[in-house]
This record gives sequence, C-alpha cells and structure tokens, in this order.
Amino acid sequence: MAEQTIVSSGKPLVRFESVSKRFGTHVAVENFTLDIRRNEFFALLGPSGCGKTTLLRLLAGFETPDEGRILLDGEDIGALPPYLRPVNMMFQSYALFPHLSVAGNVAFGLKQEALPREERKQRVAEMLAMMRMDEFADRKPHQLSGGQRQRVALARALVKRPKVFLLDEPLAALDKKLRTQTQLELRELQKKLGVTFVIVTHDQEEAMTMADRIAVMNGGRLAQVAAPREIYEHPKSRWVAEFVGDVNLIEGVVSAVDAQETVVETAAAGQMRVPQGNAAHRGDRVLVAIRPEKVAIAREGASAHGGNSVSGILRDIEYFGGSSVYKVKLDGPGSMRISSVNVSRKGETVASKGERVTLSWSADAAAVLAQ
Amino acid sequence: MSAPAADTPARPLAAAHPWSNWLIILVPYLWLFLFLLLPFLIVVKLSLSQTAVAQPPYSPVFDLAAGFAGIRSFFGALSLDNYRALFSDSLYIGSFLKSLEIALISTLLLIAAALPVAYGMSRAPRSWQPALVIAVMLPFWTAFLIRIYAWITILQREGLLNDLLLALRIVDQPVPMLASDGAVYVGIVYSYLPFMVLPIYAVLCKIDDSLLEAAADLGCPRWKTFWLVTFPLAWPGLAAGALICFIPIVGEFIIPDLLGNSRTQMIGQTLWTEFFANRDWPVASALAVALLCALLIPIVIVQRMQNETLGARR
Repeated sequence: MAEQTIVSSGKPLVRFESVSKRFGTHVAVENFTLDIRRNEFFALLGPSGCGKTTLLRLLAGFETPDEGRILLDGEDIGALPPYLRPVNMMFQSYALFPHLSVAGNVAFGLKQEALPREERKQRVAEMLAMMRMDEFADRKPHQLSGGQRQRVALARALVKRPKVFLLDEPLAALDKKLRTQTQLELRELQKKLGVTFVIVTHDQEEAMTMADRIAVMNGGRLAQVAAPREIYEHPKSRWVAEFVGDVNLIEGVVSAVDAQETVVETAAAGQMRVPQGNAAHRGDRVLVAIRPEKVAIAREGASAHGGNSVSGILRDIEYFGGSSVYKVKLDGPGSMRISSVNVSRKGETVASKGERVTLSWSADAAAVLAQ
Repeated sequence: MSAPAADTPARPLAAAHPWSNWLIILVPYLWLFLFLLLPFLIVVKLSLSQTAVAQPPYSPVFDLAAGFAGIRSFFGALSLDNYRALFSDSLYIGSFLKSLEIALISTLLLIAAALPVAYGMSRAPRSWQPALVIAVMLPFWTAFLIRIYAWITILQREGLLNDLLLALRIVDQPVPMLASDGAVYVGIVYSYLPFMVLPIYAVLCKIDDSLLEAAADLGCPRWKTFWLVTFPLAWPGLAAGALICFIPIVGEFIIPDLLGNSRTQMIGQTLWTEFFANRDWPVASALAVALLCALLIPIVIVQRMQNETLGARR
C-alpha cells in the first residue's frame, strides 16, 4: 500500500477508472484502476494474456470499455473514435504503409490535420532528421532494415505530437544487441520530447531499464504499480516477486513482530530475521523472499557475515560468464539459488559440486510475503 | 566463408535431378506448343493466303513433294492483302472499336460492382469467408450458355423483369430491354463478376488489420482509410481482375450474340460471320491475328505495373 500514498503533483494525465473489458466470456481487464502521470515513462508489464495490450488498445480507442471510464486530461475519452484521440501508437508489427515512402508514412498523420503544406514538410523533415532517417526519406518500407523500420514507426507517431505515446512491444522484432541500444534511445527520446510514453512489454528487464514506473499485471488485474526498484526490492505479492526477477521463497511461521523486525521460524533455514515491511502478525504462515544476488556463498567453516545463515550441499553451478548461479540443497527441506559475480578471471569457484557450503545474508536482504 | 558451397543445399532437388526439373518444365511448354502456338501459326499462315472457292476455302497449300520450288511458290503466294482489307473496310475497324468500348465500360462496371463485394467478404468473420468464396463461384455450377439464356427470359418483352415492373405499376408499357447494349452489359457484368471479385478479395484479405488501425490512429476516418490505404493496396488485385476480364470481353461472342442487337457487332461476331457465313477464312484469320496483337498491349502494360507494385509489397 506504501506506493499508493505517493500523490503526484497535479491531476494525472491518464486515469483508468474501474475499467472492465470482456471478449465473449473471456475477461481481458477487470475493475482496473490506474493513474498515469504527465511526462512519465510508464510500463505495463505482464505475461501474455494478462490484459496489458487490451489496456493499450482501450487507450488508443480500438476497443471501448464495457464498464468504467478512461480519462485523458480529465476528459472522458471512452466514446471518442481512435482518429479523434490525441494519442498515437506504435504497433508491434510497426504497421508501416507498404505503398508509401518513408516520408509519405511520416507525413500521413499530418495530412489528416489541417496544416499548411510548408509546416507539414518542415515537421516531417525535422522528425526524420531526429530519427536519423532523412537520407532514407524516399525509400519504401520493404527496403529498410528492422531497426530502420522501427525508427520510421516512431517518427510517424511522434510527428503528430501526441499527448500520450503508446508502444506495443516495441522491441520484440529486434535482435538482442539492437534491443539494448534501442532501450536507451527510447528513454533519451522520451526525456527529450517530454511526451508521456506508455509501453507494453512482457520483458521485465525491458520495463526495468526504461520505465519510471511499472504496472505489473496478472489475469486482467493490477498486481502492483511502483518504480522499478520498489517492484524488485519490495514486491507486494508472491506472484510479483516470482514474475520480476529470480527469487528464493522459504515457507515459515511468524513467531515475533516488533517495530523493526519480523522473526520467522522456517523448517528450511531455522529462525530468520526480516525487516518490517509488509504487515504480518504473529502466527501467520508467510514466505520469506530473498533475491539470489543478496546471498553470500562460502565453504562451510569460512566466516559468515550478516544476520542470517544456513548450510547445505552445493549441487550445481550454472556459468553465465559475468556471473554464476549456484544451486544449494539445504540441510532442511528445500533448496536455494545464489547468484554471484565472477570477480576473478581464474578458474577457481567458491566451492565445488558436492561440497558443503554456508549461505549468509544480512537481515534487510529478505522480505516477508503472504503465502 | 565458402558462400557458393553453402548455397547448394538450398535447392537440393535441382542439384540431384536436373533432368526431372526440365521434364516438369517441358510438359506445359509442350502442351502450349501443340495446342496454342501450332494452331496460331496455322492461323497466321491462313491469314496470309488467298480466298478461293474450294474445300477448304483457301490457297495456297504447302506442298512438300514439290521440293524447293514448292517452298518458293508458297512464300511467293503469301500476301498481306487480307490485312489491308481489314483497314480498308470500316466494318472491321468499327466492330473492333465497339468491342473495346464495351470491354472498357464493362471492366469499369465490374470493378465498381466487385470492389464492395470483395471488401465486404474480406471484412466478414474469418469463419464465414470460405462459404462466401464458394457462393461467389456458385454460378459456375450451371452451364454458361444456360445462364445467358436465363437472362433472355428475364429481359425479354414478356419477361420476368417487365412483369415485375408492370405489377409494381412502375411502368405501364413493357420496356424493350433485350437486344440492346444495356442487355449486353448486364450479361457481361453478371458472367464475369466472379473473375473480378476473387482476385480483389485475394489481395484485400491479405491486408494486415493493423494497417487500418494505424490509419485510424493517425487521424483517418474509415471512409478515408479505404481510399488512402485499402484501395492502393488492392491495386494489384484490381489490375489482375481487369486483365482477366477485359481480354475475353473484347473477344466475347455468345453474350452480344444472344443479348445484343444485330446493328452493333463486336469483333467476335464479325470474326464468326467471316469464318462461317462468308467462308472467308483468310480474312477471318487476319482479323484474329490483329485482335491478338492488339490485346498484347494491355497485357504487357498491366504485367509491368503489377511487377512494380509486387516489388513494393515484399
């Protein structure tokens, strides 16, 4: 509930008010309420079928809500057709018009506005220059690479100067290297233009790197909305913790609660001390969530640090180059995954498979979640 | 990188069985040679011959037994007289122009009729579309000739349409409808509609919905999207349909013969008259060759336009 108390200055740019949308018997979005602030880079994150694309299409006007209202700048836009909304979208497939040149595609939207010809030409030229596509102005879409097509799609929507710019899985069609580069470019572009970006993605890393705030969705409902760090470090539910990043979940029962700490008795790791966060009461069955990189791993006997520690046998090591993931079978029931940065270039590892190891973490590394 | 070596597995069939590939290509070419090119060459030869009151009604006949002298006299006897006759008599030019006029107007009428039908089909729910395609092709299940006869019973003086108009008191006298250019247009548009609908539909149903949504998103109302996006993208289908219809309509014989009047003859009817009534095979052949040459022009033009648009779409 903590992030809900953060009140943005002024009224939100976009507000979903108890919006529901069904397709036949399938509920795509249910009783959904969300505010999107002016000039923020906002991400709708969730697995496929969670309703995030429906939400974007509701905002663009391709779908109308069955219940609830959608407000843009305080005005109900639920009944406005897409061509009258000051909102533009970049499609996942880019949807460039194959019969028009790059310049023709970018000019398409401006031609629908009553603009003087000179101004239109100037705005198209400026936008093409900004996207570094000016030398390709006369090419047809099929003569462009994937990255170039994406920039044309961006230019075509942004040249309309929308109040909200919608991006539907904008990076899905790009290869990994180009994707990382484009993430940064999109972020810079958003800061430069000061336009509100709403992006739909199923890729949590993508959402983390780009967005100011993320709404995590599950089954047509809002699971959590907060800044990336908040979502990662303070997930509100087991579902969010598991969907965003890797996590170890240890079952236990709350044995004591005070102002600073919650003490949880676990079968796997004995008594665990967790900072007070999500409200839990004595006797509650809870989960202790610990991110793999927050845990230190060492051969048994080496000095442990931090407030919590547990022993086990190293079962497996996954090598990723920059880091390795260690799978440890705990002495109690269950196992944990620990990720560790490979600082040294030498082949030595903290321990070998089959060796006994001790895992340790500081008290504030873990969080309590409802089971 | 050994690129050429890497390329070979791309066409393993061609590499393994070159002769079988040639065989596959040979079959249609042999067919076309036997049943199209050879008869056409005979027609060309006929068109260069002289009319004669004989059986068959022309000369000369190529006589291999006469040896080289025979070949010389054969070529010596060829003449372009029949082609000159085509241009000297206004009957031929007139019926040719009439055919072009009817074919052009019919093609435009067909586009106007087929575009909404094809558009509606492409927008229909996916599960309905196969049934709609079958419905468009349904008329083919009845013989062409019978369907044209059916139009006679509809359009004639005591026909169904006049009965209906009289019954509804829209007219008080039967309207003469048969034996007119109007009846010919009705017959042609009716007969050729599937050939126009299907190629347009084939192109329209391939247009990605997101393109139409993108147009709406960029500020385009639906009717405008149709003209700015759908119509230009449907162009290859329109061109294909126009070509498929225009060419046979120019040479159409049965429809104008049954539904048209005798004053205005289309080129097919003139050809038939020359061949069977006047028994002037050489002139009829010359007419056929001239017609074919004239029709090659639109084929080449449309083919080129289509190559351009196809290139742009890939």
